[in-house]
Amino acid sequence: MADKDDQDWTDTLAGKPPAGADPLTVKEAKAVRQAMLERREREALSGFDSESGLQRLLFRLRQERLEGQRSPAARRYAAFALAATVMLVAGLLLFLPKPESDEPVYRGVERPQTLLADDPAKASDALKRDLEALGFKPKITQRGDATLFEAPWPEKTDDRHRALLERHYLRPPEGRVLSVEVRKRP
Amino acid sequence: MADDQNALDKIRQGGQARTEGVSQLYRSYARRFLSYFMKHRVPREQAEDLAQDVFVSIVRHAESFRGETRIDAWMWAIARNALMDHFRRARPEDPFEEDDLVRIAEAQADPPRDVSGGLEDCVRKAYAAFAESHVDRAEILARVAFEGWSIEDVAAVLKRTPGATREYLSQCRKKLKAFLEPCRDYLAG
Repeated sequence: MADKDDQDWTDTLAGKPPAGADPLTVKEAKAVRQAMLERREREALSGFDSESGLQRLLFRLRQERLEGQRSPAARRYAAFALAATVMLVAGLLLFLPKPESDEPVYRGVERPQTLLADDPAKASDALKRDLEALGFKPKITQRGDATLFEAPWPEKTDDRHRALLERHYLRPPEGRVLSVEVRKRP
Repeated sequence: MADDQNALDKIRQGGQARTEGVSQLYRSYARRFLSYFMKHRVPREQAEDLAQDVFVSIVRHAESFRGETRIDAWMWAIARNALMDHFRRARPEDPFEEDDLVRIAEAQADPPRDVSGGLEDCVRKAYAAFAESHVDRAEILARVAFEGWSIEDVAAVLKRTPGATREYLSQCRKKLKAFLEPCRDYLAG
């Protein structure tokens, strides 16, 4: 059961020995504090590159669209703009002729997402493996020192698709094509 | 603490300020979180991923932090939750509770045998053995000792009442005492 002596010990550990505390308690807590301080100073995580980790984090925040937020006024404007766009598109679709074929049409010429990797070959293999595991047959093209993956992305996705995106730090494509360029991290 | 508040304010602003705020917190805390995860036997690569998850959560929840506790205590609570989620994912069929987190890190190490080096040497060895055996407890004691955490701050991280937290700290002292037993003569002298 915690008692006053325990509290005195804790306070001394925190560098504030209270008046009236048992001298033995104070001696013990001071000695422990000193040992803790020495251990803390000695403990160094070897090989921890904080800048590299930070860049990876910032990249991930961009990928997950967490890098910034708009002001409330801008958000309201964006909401109105989105509503107007949806109405316009809905209106147009009512009048557009239906496609004659059921063959999938690869739309979406958005810019490829960039996947930076220390080992691009390993990252490319992993991405290819994961896409194929989901039944995709990605089109793979070498573009200089980058490898471009393109795969049709379904309209309805599930946890497996989301897990794949998360694993490779990708965001859901805006169109119906997942397009990823794997490059060596500078 | 003022630095942490400054960083959190920047994160809330978004844009370039957010990048600066995240960078500030990352440079201050990433190494500590990584060390904490690795001491719980999470392999290095997974520990780095977990540390990333912690900072992503910090950004996601920056708006909802209301100052109920210190910012660093709030971040440590996020780190601890990330660690527990990690173990839950590893064993989805087993329910994983907070006590399991303490048990995972606790191993049986022995108090020091060679105590001829004097009080400081004896206590240093005793504390090292304790810290190896009781990773979570040693981390909490370190926060109390060097980062000014109050009972309420510790309670927020452990998700216990202040009374239960006092009892937890009392237990930390008891467990450490077992390792300090060989140093008894030095401490009494």
